[in-house]
Amino acid sequence: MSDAIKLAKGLVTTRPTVVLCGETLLSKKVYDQICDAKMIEASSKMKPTEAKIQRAVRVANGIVSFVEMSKTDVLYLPFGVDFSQISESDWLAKVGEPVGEETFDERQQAFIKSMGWKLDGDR
Amino acid sequence: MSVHHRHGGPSHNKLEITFDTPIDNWFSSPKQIRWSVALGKLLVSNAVYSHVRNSDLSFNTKHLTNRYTTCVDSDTTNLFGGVSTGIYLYKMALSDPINYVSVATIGASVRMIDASGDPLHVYVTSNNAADGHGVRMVTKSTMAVTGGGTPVQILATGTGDNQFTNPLGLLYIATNADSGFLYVCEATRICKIAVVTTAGSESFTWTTSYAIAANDLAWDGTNFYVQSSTQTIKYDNVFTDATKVATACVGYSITYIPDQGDGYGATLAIVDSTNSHLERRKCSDLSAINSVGSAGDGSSSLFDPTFTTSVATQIEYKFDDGFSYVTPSGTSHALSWNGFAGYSFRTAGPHKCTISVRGRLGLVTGIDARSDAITLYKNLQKLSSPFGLVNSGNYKVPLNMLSPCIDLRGDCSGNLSSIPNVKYFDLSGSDITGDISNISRSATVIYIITSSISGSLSNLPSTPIYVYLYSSNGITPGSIAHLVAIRDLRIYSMGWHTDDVDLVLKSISDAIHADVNHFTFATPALQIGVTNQAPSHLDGYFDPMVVLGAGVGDADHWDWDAVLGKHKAKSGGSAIWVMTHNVGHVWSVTCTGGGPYP
Repeated sequence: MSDAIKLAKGLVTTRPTVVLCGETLLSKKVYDQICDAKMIEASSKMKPTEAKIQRAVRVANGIVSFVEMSKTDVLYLPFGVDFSQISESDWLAKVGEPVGEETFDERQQAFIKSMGWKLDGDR
Repeated sequence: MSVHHRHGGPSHNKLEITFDTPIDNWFSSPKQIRWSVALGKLLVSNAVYSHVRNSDLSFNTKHLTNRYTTCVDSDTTNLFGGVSTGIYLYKMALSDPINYVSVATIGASVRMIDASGDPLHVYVTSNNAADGHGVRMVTKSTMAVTGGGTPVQILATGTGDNQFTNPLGLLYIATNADSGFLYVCEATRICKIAVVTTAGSESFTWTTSYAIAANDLAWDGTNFYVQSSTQTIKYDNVFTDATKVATACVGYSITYIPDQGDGYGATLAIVDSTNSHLERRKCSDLSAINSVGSAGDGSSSLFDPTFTTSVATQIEYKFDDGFSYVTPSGTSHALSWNGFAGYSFRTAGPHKCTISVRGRLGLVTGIDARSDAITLYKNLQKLSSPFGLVNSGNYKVPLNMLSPCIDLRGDCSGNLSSIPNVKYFDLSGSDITGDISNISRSATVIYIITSSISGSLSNLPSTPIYVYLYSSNGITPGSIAHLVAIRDLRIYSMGWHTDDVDLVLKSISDAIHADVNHFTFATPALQIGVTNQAPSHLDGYFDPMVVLGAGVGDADHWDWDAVLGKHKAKSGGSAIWVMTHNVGHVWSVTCTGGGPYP
């Protein structure tokens, strides 16, 4: 009866247009925008973590927020919203290591800006 | 009429901050270490301000100029040092190690120096192929480089006798008032040069070399201690009998510390440049006593609160050791000391800093003290303007001192009712108490992570757009329908049961059912999982108009609302469907699933 598809790792969607890479779920738009072989490779190597809470990055209509999920959580996606949830390891791989005097925060800000996204709030 | 303060404490027009600066045990590429007889301390050259350390390696001060980054040594009255990229040797008075007295142009990158053995001269090694891997002699009184050749240096560049290649550590040992021997360390040998030090008649005569790999060496009057990249070796006075060897002892420089009466006898201090730490060993058997230090620039050990003011003005930081600093006119104010945006002390804390503002204290609108080990504020309540505070550390600022505060981030203690004006909360820790109904009615951001506040969610103010109350098990579930502007609501790990979770979910779906534009943000998010139980009937997550049809409800998931002509959720699962399909203001929901779990 349900039109929800429980994909894996607690991610639930009603839409076939999302692309699942390990624990990262990307909208087709974001997948086309940022995903490359390196990112999928990083995801495929991910091992289940024993940590109770895992962090991830959400991008909803271009607004970025940092969230936490446990292995027993499921995420119900917002209908009609360009929505992605990127695992912490994929996010770190995508942002990359700071170079020289650059801090990770600065690099992350630059990456978010380069994607045309905005960081939600100031926390 | 006379004007005087009635109290012995700080003026009411000044803010007084007491703090314990952490001990600075950070090093960035430390190079040379030397015992200063005059100071009774160790000198350690360091890329970001050199250190003075006590004989047990503990921190003493880094109140030194930044002109000692590769080498440092002292005699009875002066400090000498050189910088890594420079070609100069600086001289400072021990009484004023910030401002240099005079400088010698060495003409090559300075590596290490010896200033303590010869009262008239400083000996300098350098590493620059272009102008010779040389050893220079500098006359202390004139800071003139002495010696022959072009460039001026002792002996020549090369690998044979009478030549140097890549010299590093060195040590002058006087044999009488006018002469002595200079020992120079190279990668594969230690060179011995006889030196005459008579002013105007200086001379250097190659004596011999010893096939010993050495970075630096020390001398206790009887034995030599040679430091290589991997070992410390104790030799006799002619380098023939290696009586003791300390293996796995990485070192770049070594110095001798006379007996300090601490039970260890005479000791050695060694710099491990690669791993940014110091080690102390006994001269007797080379056994290790202790080590200290890790990599870092030491900036975290500084006291560096910054202030913002509502109008351009100046503020003065006045410290209890006499140092004071007045900021340039502006609205953002930070310390500036000896190249740092912060201040460190010659002695361990606690210390006090008095802040005065040109104009009045009430001009302060912000204090950012996030990395400062503050133990007490005095007169914080005198900041009459609405102000913001960022605080972290052991001292939890009492909330009753913060009544004018509108932006509060960090560690505090007390009851939420004490801060009626705060719009931005970022508090954590068990020292925060109170009821949700005490939270300022104008709050827009509420991050309060503590188990010691209580109350129903329904008593939150209606104003916030961000609410993080997760892991707060004193909070009870309730309707959040009044949070019309909410963007991000995190209430996971509250230990709630299914009915509790449903109560929150249904308060949202009921509000949407009544008015699809009830919540104003386009993509609000709710996290209500982790230790909370799963919502009821997650199998109700379906489109009832498609599955059941108009006018038809079912037992567990959906009622038919004949008045509004649409289905109304009655389970947690169906409430989630309403939330995630409310086009225009559509929620994402993270909750505990029904399992089985991956």
